[in-house]
Amino acid sequence: MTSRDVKFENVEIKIGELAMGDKELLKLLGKEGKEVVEKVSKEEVSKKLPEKPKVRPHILDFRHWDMLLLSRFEPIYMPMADFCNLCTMGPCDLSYNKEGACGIDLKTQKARIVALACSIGASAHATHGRHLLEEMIEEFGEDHPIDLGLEVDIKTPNISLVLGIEPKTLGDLREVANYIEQEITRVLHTIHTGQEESYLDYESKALHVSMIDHVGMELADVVQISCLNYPKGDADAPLIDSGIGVLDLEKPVILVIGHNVVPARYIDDYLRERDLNDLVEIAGICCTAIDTTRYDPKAKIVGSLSYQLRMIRQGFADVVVVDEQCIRADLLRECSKVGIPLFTTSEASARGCPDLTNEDADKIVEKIVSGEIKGALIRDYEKLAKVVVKTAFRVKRKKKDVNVNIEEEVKKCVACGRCVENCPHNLPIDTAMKRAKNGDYSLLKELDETCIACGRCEQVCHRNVRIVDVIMRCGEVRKSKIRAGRGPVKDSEIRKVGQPIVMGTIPGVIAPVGCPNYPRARRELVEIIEEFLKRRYIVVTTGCHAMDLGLESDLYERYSGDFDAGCLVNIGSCVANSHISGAVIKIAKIFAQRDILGNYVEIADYILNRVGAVGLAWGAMSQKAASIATGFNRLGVPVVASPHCLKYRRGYVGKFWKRENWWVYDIKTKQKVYVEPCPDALLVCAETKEEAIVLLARLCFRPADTYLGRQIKLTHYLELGKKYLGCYPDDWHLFVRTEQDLPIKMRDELLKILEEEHGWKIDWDKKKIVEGPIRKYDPGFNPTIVKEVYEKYTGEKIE
Amino acid sequence: MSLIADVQASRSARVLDADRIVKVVKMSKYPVLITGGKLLRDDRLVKFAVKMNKAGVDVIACSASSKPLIENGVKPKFTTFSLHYITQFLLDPDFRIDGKVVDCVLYLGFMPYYLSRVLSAMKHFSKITTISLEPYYQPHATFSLPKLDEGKYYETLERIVEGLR
Repeated sequence: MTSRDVKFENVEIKIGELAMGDKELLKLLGKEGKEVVEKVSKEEVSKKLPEKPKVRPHILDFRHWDMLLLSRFEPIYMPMADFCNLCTMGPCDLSYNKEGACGIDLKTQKARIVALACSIGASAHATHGRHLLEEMIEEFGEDHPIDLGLEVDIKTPNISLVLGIEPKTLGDLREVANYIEQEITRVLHTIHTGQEESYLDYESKALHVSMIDHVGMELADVVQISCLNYPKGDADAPLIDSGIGVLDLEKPVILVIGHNVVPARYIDDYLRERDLNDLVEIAGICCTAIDTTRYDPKAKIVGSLSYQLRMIRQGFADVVVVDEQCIRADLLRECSKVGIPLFTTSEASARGCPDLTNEDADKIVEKIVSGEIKGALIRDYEKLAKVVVKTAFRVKRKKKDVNVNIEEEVKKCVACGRCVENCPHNLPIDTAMKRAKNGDYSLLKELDETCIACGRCEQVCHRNVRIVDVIMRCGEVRKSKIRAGRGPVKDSEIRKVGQPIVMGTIPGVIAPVGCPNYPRARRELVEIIEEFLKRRYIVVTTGCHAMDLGLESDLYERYSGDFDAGCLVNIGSCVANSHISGAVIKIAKIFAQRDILGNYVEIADYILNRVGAVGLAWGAMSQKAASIATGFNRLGVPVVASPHCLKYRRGYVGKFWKRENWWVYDIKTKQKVYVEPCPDALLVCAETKEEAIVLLARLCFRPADTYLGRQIKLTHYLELGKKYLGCYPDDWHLFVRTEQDLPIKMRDELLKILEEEHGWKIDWDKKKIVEGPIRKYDPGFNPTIVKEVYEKYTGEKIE
Repeated sequence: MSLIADVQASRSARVLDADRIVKVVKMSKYPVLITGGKLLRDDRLVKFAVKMNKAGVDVIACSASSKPLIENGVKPKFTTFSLHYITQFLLDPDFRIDGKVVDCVLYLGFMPYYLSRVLSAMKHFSKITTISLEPYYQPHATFSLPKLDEGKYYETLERIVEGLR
C-alpha cells in the first residue's frame, strides 16, 4: 500500500487506502495520481461531486443478493400448524407440503408467515420511531441537528447504506420515515392471498422488511439520542441501580413498562422540576427501563418483561404506566386485582380504558383513587405526568393486601401435572409442589430462575393454585448494577478495532440481543457471555439480554464498556440494535474505506466474508426479535438462537458437506474458488448453552481471516470443543488452509490428526501441509459472492 | 385428519410399545439415534444411549450430549451440529453417513417443544421414519411412546435395548 497523501482543507485522504468512490472524486478534481499535498476547500469538493442519485431500494432491488444467500443458507421450515386459516376458502390442510385452495404449499405458507412476523416487528419499531420523531420535531424543531457526539461522524450508517443519504437534522428524517412506512406496506401487500408462489420470494420479502427494520430502529434511536441528552457512545455510561431489591418501597413507586420513553420522560421531568424525585421511585421494565435510565440515571431498572407479574402481584408498584410493545395483555386485570391504577398512553395499547386525555387532571385522579375507574388512557403527556404522580402518592396508602399464604397454596396442589404440560418450559411444577409440601422449597426457588411468569400454569389449574405467586415468592430478590445504554459505537473505536476484527486477531463480536424467554436458567446467558469475555471477544448487548446480564451477575462492574477486545458494551434498548448493525457497516466504511452510500449489497457481501460478528438471541420471543435477526442476516451477520426460536418456523442453515455451495470469486486472482464453509448458517438454533458456545465460536470464522486471525479463532474453537463437546469439533479441519492456521502449541498433534484421520499429506521435516485443505492460504485473498462487486473491482465481466 | 367440523390435525403419531419399536428399528436399513441435552443431566439416558450404540445403532450427538457419551466409549457420527443442522441435513436426499441413507431416526433426551418442531419438519418434508423415545407423546413423530411415569419410562428404554441386542 502506498502512502501518497492528498490533503483537502479539513480532509485528509491516504490514496493507497481509497475506496472506489473517493478515487472517482480525485479524478473529478483532476488530482488523481499526483503525489503532492494540495489545499482544496470543502466547497470545491462538494461542487465537483456529482450529486448521488437518491436510492429508495424497492422490494425487488436486492432480490439477487437474497437469492445468493438463500442458495447457500437454505431455509428450513418447522411448521407450527399444518393448516392455513387466512382466507374463507380454508381451513386448508397443507400437511406434507400439500397445496391449499389458493394453490399455496406449506413451505411457501410458512415463508409467508415469517414475512408477516417480520413486517409486524418492523412496523413496531417504525411506528415508535415516527412517534418519537414527530414529538421531538414539535419540541425541538425540524432544524434540530442529529448529534451523536464528537466521535461519531457516521451518524446513520443504516440509513446511509440503504437510502444513500446522510440526514443532518430531524426534518431530514421525515423522508426516511416515509420510505420505511411505504416499504412495510409494500411487503404487507404481498402477503395477501394469491400472490407469491415461491417460498424464496417470501423469504426475500422477510429479508427486505427486516433490513427496513434496522433503518427504522436507527431513526428512533438517533432521534432520542440527539434530543434527550442520552449517553453518546460513552463507554463509562453510569451504572444503574437494578432489580426489585433496589427499590425503596417506603416511597411511592411508579412503574413504567414498554418501549417508548416519551411518557416516562414527562413523568421524570415532572418529578425533577418539582424536586420530588427523591420522594418517588420511578422504575422500568423492558426497553422503557433502559431508555428512561439513559435519560435519567437516577431512575431504576426492575428487569426484563418477565418481571411484570412479579412487580404487580407482589404490590411493589403503586401506579403502572404502559406505552407500547411486549406488555402483558392482562395488565389492567392484574393491576385491578391488587388495586394498582393503570395508565395507558399509546394507540397500540388503549386496553379498554376510557380516553380521559381532555379531562381535568384532578378529576382523573379523583376517579382513579375513588375506584370509579381502574385505569385511563391519557395522550397528553404533561397531564399524564401530573395525574400519575398525584395518584401514586394517594394510592400508596390504599393498596389491597397482596400477601399469599404459600403453605396453603402448596397444600391445594394434587400434582395432576396439567401445569407442567401447559408451561412453555414444561417446568416440573408438580414435583416442586410435592417437595414443598414436605418443607423443601429449594426446587420452587430453582424454578424462579427459569419461570417467565407468564401464568399459563394458572389458567389450567383446576385447584386454582396461585402457582406464579408461589414461585416468585420463593425466588431471590435481586439487587445489582447495569451500565446505562451507551448508544453508538464511536468511529474512533472502529478505527482501533476494525482491522483486528477483519484480520481475525480479535476473534469475534458476540451480540447477545433479545427477550427473556430462556430455555433454562437466566444465569446461563451470563455463563455463555463470560466464556467469550474471558477469551477477549467483543460483547455488545441490548434490550432484555442487556438487563439480565446485569441482574444475574456483576459483569458490568468487572468488564469495561469500551467497544474493544474483552469488553462488555450495553448499547441500549431494542432500537439501539441498529448501532450494532451500524458498527459492522462502519467497519467497511472506516477500515476498508468502502463507500457505504446506497451501497447495500457490496457492504453486506463485505461483512459476510470478513466481519466475524454473530448475534445471540438466547431468549427471543417477539416478532421484533424475528425482524431484528432477519435484518442482521441480510447484512451478512449470522444469529444463534435458543431452542424456543424453532417456533419462528424458519432457519437459514447451510450444509457444510455440499462443497458446491461454498464458493467465492477472488478479486485478486480473478478465480472462482471453493472455500471453507464459513459462516455455515445465518439463523440456527441450539438446545443447550454448551452447544451454543461452540456454535458461536464456529460462526465467527470468515473466509478473509488472516492466518494469525484464523489461528486464534481455531484455538478457541478447538478448546471450546474439548471443553463442552468432549472432543475436537467434527469440522475443524475444514477451516485449516495452511499449517500456519494451526495453534502453535497444538500443531504437531493436529497435523497428525489431519494425516491419520483426514488423509492429508504432511511434510514432517518441514512440518508443512502438502495436500488436503479446501484451498491454499493467500494473504491477498479478496472474496466476494456478488458478480457486480467482482466486476467493479476487476473490470472484467463474468459471463 | 378428523372429519369433525374444523378440527385441524393432520397425521398424529402412532403410539408404540417397546416391542413394536424394536420391530420398526429392525426393519429399517439404517437407523440412527439422535441424542439431546437431557443427557447432560441424566446418567440413565447416557447409559441407554451407550447400550443402543453397543447394540449396533449409530449415534448422532446433539446439544453437547457427545461429552458424556464419549466419556462412556461411544464414538458419535456427529458431535458438533445442533439438531437444527442435523434436521436440515436429513431433509436433503443427498445426505449420507458413511455412504448410507438414514431411513429411521430415534430421538432421545430433547426438550419437548424443541423436538416437536423438528418432528413437524420431518413429518411434512421427508419420508424418514421418526420415533420419539421421550417419556411423553410427540404427535408429529411417526411413532411415539405414550406419556410414561419415570419408572415405566426407563423400564421401556431397557426393553428396547434388550430387543435390539
